Amino acid sequence: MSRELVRLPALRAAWNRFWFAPASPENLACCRLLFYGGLLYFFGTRDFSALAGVDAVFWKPIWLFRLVGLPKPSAEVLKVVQTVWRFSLAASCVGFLTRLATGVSFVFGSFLLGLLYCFGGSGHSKSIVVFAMGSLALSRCGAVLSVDRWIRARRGEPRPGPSGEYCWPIRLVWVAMTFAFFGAGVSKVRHAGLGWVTTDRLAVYLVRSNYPLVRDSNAPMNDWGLWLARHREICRALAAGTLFVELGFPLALLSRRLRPILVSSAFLMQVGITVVMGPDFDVFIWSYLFWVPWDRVKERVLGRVGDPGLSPEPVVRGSVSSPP
Amino acid sequence: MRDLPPAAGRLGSFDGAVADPPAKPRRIVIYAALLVLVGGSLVAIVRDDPYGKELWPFSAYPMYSQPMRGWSAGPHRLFGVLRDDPTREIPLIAGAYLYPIEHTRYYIALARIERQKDRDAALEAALRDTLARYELRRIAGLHNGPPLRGIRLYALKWRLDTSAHNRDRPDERKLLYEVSTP
Repeated sequence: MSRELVRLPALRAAWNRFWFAPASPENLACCRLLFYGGLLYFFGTRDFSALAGVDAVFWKPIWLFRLVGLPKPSAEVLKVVQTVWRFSLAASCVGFLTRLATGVSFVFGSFLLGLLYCFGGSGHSKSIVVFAMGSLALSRCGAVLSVDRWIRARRGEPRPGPSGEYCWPIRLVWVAMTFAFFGAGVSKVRHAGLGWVTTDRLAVYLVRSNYPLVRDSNAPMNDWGLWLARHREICRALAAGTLFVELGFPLALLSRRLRPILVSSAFLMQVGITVVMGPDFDVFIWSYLFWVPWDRVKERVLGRVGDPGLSPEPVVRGSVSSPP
Repeated sequence: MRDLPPAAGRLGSFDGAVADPPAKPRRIVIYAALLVLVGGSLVAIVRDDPYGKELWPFSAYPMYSQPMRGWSAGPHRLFGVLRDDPTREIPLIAGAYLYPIEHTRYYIALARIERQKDRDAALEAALRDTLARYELRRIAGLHNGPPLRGIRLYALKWRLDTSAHNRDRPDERKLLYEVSTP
């Protein structure tokens, strides 16, 4: 039955269009540039080697580390790994030896971010980085707006045109973010049911955030959470809205009309949580850049919509024959 | 090479355009990555592991869905005993005091240590390590905290209030463990 479904031409065409619709290489390249630039900003000065000095009593390796048999690393090893990671992030950002740089970024980055979870676990904001780095490492994100492209242009190689190769890596990050929101929604329904909306649950969380010794995260930016907690109907409306956005987020993958509404709602929800409750979503918030059609933004900013003839280099449409 | 619609040069992606899938070997790699992401995420959602026990990087993202105690809270928190005045204590919640483990992770790790079979020995090691790192970083000028002579772990209890007037005064405070410098 399912095999027949997959063979349905319309479904198959829709599946292929979702993953492999011809897309501009600029869009993916902008994501690469901004994403790795952001990672450098967030992690460029973080000293992972300090973790080596923490007593073994705190060490509880995650399943990946246990599977590979990785011991608690020494400070020397961590210094080397984090230095290589920083260089690979910089190279990925500017698109120099992009395939190698993004691959190293993914492997070393996963190791270092995974290491944080070996000392207490928790925190979800950084998981999305692993999926985005993995997606970009498999992609051809260095095709344009890169040092690699500059070198190829000097050799006289034509500029690649739109291709499905520049679509799927972004969609993969969309799917990862969708699981984050949908999972959060399912978790609320599973543990609290409709009580998440109909009780004072959100009000209690808002109040807890204003108790420095009770809260589990950063301090909120203000005490507006206390005001909200005193207005239970607003809290319940916000709780319902949160559940609606989280459980409905998969529709952002399917509907072009709902996509901007759901994605901007989720963004505002996370910013709101940071403002009144404190948790810092740092790199997760940064990952919203994958939802922005950067090529269209660029063209609108430059006022070039409808004038593709301004491209400074010869374009080979659909060519993906020379991966960077 | 596939002919693409004219709009292909302008838009980021084209839900209405003809798809341009790569060759089969490449598609297999892409679908394998997708399978890992979807499979891992589904397993994590079904398992629904609590904070700190997730199948990282996969997770059920249990944001604000943990069991609640209503309008009360009972965290376990560390306090530093001032070297110059042992009657005074400061809460050890600032990131700079617990570095390099972040606040949330630190207290999740401490909760795990409290549940261990060798609880007392493990707590002794954890609190001594925390005190030693605090002092090393203080001497190095990496934070502005006062000198400490010891660390105490308390179980605190609050009746939460929407004005948070009692935010610095727990209703109950029970000493669970203590370490001090020799």
